[in-house]
Amino acid sequence: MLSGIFEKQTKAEKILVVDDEPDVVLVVSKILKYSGYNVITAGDGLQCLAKAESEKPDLILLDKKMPNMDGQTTLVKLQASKKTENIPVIMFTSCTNGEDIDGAQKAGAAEYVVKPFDRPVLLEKISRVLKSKFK
Amino acid sequence: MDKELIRILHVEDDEIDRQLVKRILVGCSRPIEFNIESVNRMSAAIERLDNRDYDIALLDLGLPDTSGIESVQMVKRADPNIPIVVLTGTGDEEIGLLAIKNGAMEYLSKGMALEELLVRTILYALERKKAEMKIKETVEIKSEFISMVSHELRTPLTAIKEGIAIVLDEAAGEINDDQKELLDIAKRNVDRLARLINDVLDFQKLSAGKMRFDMQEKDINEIVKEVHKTMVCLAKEKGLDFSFKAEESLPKVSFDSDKITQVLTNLVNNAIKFTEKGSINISTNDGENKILVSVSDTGCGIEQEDLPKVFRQFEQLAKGGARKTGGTGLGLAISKEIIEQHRGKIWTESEIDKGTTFHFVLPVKERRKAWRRKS
Repeated sequence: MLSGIFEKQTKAEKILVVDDEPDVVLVVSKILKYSGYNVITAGDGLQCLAKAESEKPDLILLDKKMPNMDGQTTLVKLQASKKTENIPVIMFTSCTNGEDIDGAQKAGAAEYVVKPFDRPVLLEKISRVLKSKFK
Repeated sequence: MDKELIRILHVEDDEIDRQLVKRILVGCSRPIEFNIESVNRMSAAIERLDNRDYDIALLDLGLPDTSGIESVQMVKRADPNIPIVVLTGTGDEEIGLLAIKNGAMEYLSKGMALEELLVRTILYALERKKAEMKIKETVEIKSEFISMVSHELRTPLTAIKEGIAIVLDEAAGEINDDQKELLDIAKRNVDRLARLINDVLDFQKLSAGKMRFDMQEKDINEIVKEVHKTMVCLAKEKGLDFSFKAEESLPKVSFDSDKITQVLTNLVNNAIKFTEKGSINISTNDGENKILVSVSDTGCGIEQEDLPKVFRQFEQLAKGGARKTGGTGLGLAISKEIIEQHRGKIWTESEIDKGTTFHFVLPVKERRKAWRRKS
């Protein structure tokens, strides 16, 4: 199978949006779709792990606070698996405090976004993370 | 009825005093059993505190390996929650009071009617500790509740805010002018709600002492210049002149750039809000072992009787003024917390119809140290 750069250039990047709030998933998906990305979604950490493996997204937007498996745990599991360790993750947090942001970065998130976010900021962070991934 | 058990750590190096305390407690006629463990060194006391639970510490201040207030501080460090009753020599009122300022519950002079007072003082200290812990717990529950609620508000707000923005940007299709006007109102108010939630969280974190500060030694003029640069347009839009008078070569001070920028932005914002014509000025000054920053305007001014209120939370003095301009009522309360946690001070002077000036000072660490060394 042809992989890597050739395929990526001919196709929009695929982003996995993970949040337990369906409304947030919907709105974020629309933003991404209007900006030209392919979007897949998951409602919790377990679904996220399964989809990350089967669909191989280029980037994951991961909410920090979720029932069942929270974002931080999910992130650690993603990085522990050979199949998903290279997928960059942007963490959503509704917390502005340092602990949350530190926690996200220590766990290996490429970026974090505080809710409610500014769209330009979100899109800029996504494109920066994707760019550095394909460099 | 079972006797109440009170576990006491008695730190005392004088054998006679030790026997005296023991005799009083053992001979106590109340239904209380005192379990007394005595040590004669601070080092031994700390080891015990690390390994065992006690209800209260009785502390002599003349130990061989520590003395005075240091002893109180060391016990506090070893166990921040243990109530301490200090026993001092006769006539040592001053050190007793100092001990209380440093966290001791009470002091007793060994010369006083110890038989009368010791047991009562211990019981009182224990009750007071219980009440203090209860208050602490309540405050913590309250502050956790506030931050939880604020976080929970953010998620629905995200969906509303982004939903509106997508439609407004016509990403989902064209909209007409009426629809745009209504969505603009919705957007403005959602933004205000978001600001309010942020401010409540900020204020909550600041007043609970949970805000982290990233302190760096810097020239304050750098950030004042930045704030001036970003806000000059806003003033111009209202036809106001906005000038910056910097005192050159100010000593460096230690501060968190983001937080002080937040304070400055807030003060300038207020100045612009409440000034209809004239000018805004921001200046920096060297004040010996502190630096002074002042933001003044030629606005409507504040009544003398209202001046003490301006830093209170949710106190919006101008009738309709602040609400109309989308203020949260927390800006100055937050500013005050930020400045005070920098060990600075913030205050205001005002004259009706002439204008208002807000000043704050930040301490210069280096120079103060140098000055102390000299004297």
